[in-house]
Amino acid sequence: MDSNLDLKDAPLVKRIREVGLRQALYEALNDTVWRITQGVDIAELRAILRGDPPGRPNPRLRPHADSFWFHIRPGFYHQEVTGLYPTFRLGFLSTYFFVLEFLTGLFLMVFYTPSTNLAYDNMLNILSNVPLGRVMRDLHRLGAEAMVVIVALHMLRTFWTASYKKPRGFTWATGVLLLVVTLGLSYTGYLLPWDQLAYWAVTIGASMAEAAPPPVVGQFVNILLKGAPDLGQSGLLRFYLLHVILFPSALLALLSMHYYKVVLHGHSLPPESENVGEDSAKRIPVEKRMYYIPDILTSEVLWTAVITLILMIAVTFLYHAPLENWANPQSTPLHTIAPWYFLWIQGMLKLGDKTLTGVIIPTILVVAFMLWPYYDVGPFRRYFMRRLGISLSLLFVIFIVVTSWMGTPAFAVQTSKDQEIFFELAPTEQIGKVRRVPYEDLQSGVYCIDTASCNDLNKGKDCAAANNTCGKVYDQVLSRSSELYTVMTEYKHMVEDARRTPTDRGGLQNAKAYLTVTQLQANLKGVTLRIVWDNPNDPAKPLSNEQLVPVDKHGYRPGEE
Amino acid sequence: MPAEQQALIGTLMFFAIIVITGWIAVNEQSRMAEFDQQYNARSTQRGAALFATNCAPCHGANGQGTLNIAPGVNNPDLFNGKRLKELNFTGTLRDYLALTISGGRPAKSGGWPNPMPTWGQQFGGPLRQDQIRDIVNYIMNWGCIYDDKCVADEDEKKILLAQAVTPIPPTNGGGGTPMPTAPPAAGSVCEGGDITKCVPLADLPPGDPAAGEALYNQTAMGLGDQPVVCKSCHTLDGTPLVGPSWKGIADRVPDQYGSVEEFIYHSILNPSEYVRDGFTDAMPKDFGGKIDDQMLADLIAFIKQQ
Repeated sequence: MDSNLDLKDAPLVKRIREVGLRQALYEALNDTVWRITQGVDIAELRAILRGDPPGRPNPRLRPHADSFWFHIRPGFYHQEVTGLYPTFRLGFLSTYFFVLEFLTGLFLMVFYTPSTNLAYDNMLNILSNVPLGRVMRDLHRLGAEAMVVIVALHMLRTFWTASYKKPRGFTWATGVLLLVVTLGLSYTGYLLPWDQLAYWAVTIGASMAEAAPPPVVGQFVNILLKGAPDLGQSGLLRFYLLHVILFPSALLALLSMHYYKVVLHGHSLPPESENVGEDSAKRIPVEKRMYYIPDILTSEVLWTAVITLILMIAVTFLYHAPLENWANPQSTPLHTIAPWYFLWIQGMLKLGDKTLTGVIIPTILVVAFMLWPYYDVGPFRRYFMRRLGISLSLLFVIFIVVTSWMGTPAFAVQTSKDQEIFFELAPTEQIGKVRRVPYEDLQSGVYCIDTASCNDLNKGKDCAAANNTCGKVYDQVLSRSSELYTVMTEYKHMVEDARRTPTDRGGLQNAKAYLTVTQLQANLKGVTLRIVWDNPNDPAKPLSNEQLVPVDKHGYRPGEE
Repeated sequence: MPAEQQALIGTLMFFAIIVITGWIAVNEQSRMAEFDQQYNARSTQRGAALFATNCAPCHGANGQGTLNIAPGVNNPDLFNGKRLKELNFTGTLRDYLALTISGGRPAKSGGWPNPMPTWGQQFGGPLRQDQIRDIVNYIMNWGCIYDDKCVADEDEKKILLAQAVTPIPPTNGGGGTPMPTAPPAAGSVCEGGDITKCVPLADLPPGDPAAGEALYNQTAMGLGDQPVVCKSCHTLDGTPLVGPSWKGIADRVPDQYGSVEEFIYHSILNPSEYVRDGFTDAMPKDFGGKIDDQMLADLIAFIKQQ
């Protein structure tokens, strides 16, 4: 037998012989705690929890030197940066959302296959068969949208307090790249459910790649991104790999630099707390210090709890990630829009050249933002000394809001009114007003919006006969409390508006409109919308449009989005 | 805020998070069941719309079938298992429907004059697997009326029974009682629908391709408000369905016709005159009684552009 394995010689046994069992076990435990915390023993840990002030030199700084997790955080902060102002905790929150996305993303990844044949069924499986699947998906989606907002606000705040100024120019540049990567993550993730919403929103954005000048580069980038001229299996796989490997790795690398620079240069003080041209973040007087352990750490744990609780409440009661029908490259839904954070590009696209507005301007913006600290080298950080910078930032915010609004269908989209009306009442992808009508309120019959429509529909029919197909004006036959009545009233107003609109702006001259409800099958009614209007080219042949909207008894629950 | 208070609030919030998560977990089974019910309902809705555009032209709007074209699918024998037994099909009815729709009946069967096109994308058809599933759900819902647990509402059951039609049996491809069809409309291009008494090509008014397209898309109707059903058999993008696609039609006028207009004119009014290789004489012969001179001219103008 190997004598080295003799239990008698084990250090713990030796120590028990020397100082007794109780003392030896305490020492062993203390040693373990010290190793785990990288420098804080049991006595110090208890002192921290009791709220005792640290000794001198502060033993609680040791983990910052020795441990992995604490070495990327500063040992202490200036008291003036620890309140809500000036940071609003936006940087911490950005990281919080990254961690949230990482964890929920790992969960979702287990149930996801990047295949056009399987991805959508995977979504259905997550929603119908995976315990907590919907919560995880909702958290991931909501977190992604929130992360874009938080990261953008973090950047805006940094600009307003001029915290990008020397020596923090490089920190700012990595921050701009982090925003770009965050947008990339959000955007590539948008495609993965492979539903109509995802497919068409991403198609709009991905068409930008093609516009990159010169054309030969654009075609190359397009093929590189999508793997084929159109978005399909290769594109889905590439977006997936960008989403789960390239962008997270890039984000982690940039985040590490960003954090390291914060440790190196310290948090910049509120502009009004420093003399002009001074950077005192690294010379914090002892009495102004707030140590990371335990004060900042406690507050960060509190923030984590608050935000997580808010998110949990939101995904339980307020928000569910949308899922439209299976992506169909052959059928573009009316009013397709890019994800909201790219609406500003879509808005600019409506104004002019795709290459200029879709590629050149955004690229110039990113580069200009990154380089900003290197040409705005003035020493002033106080708000009233930076009127030009603050005004420019406000103008930029207004520019983004206005161009985003221009990106929505509200601006400069010309569609024939019949399509608009059908879209409003029964869009192909969302629920719409007709499908929201309770099943019981859908009484079989033919309803016209007004007498003119009924006269047209009943022309040449013997309406006195029983069981006929003659239409009746809806407000004479439907009860006011019926939700079908409400929908018919809206239908009527929309058609009246279409009659008033000039033909060249999508108006429908002399339009007549009906709605027919039939019993298609058990628990299934068929609602048919039909609009007939004058043909400006040939009065003898009126134009018409018709849409069948099947409504199942269990298709929609009251109050559902 | 003092650290003790922060710790207290944080702890309480973590407890609240655990309670909410637990509450969600407890309700998860019923939520997932509700999701399934709702998804199936929406699938039936989509199936109804798909059936109306893709299947109804041959199998009838109510699934009753069309004589000499296709059997009824709204057939009690389908739902009581009789039909499957007849065929010695050992799988479920859902499988049978999904298989038939996906693969079609590329070889003629049951005495029917025409094969059924292939619909599933995996076999070269136009529909995705989820769309096939939607149509199956819709067809299965016809069986609901024979199940007392399925229709709760007695009035609804009465309406459905009154609406019920006698389906064309699947083995009745060749004969049986003719289905009443709409009589040829007055003012049609062929007098009384008789294809020997049609307005000659030279006497047709000038055609408007846009109006022809409206007929194709069924945004405009034929005489007597009947749809002119082209779309369910002919595509514009080169995909063959029951009939050949119209794409490039001007480049393949058979020798027997002098011009593309003449080719289209005869193909619409008397489809049997020329049947393209690889297709069968499946096209209805009644278009001469459904459209007027102008509509025919519009259709010719639209089709020859393809």
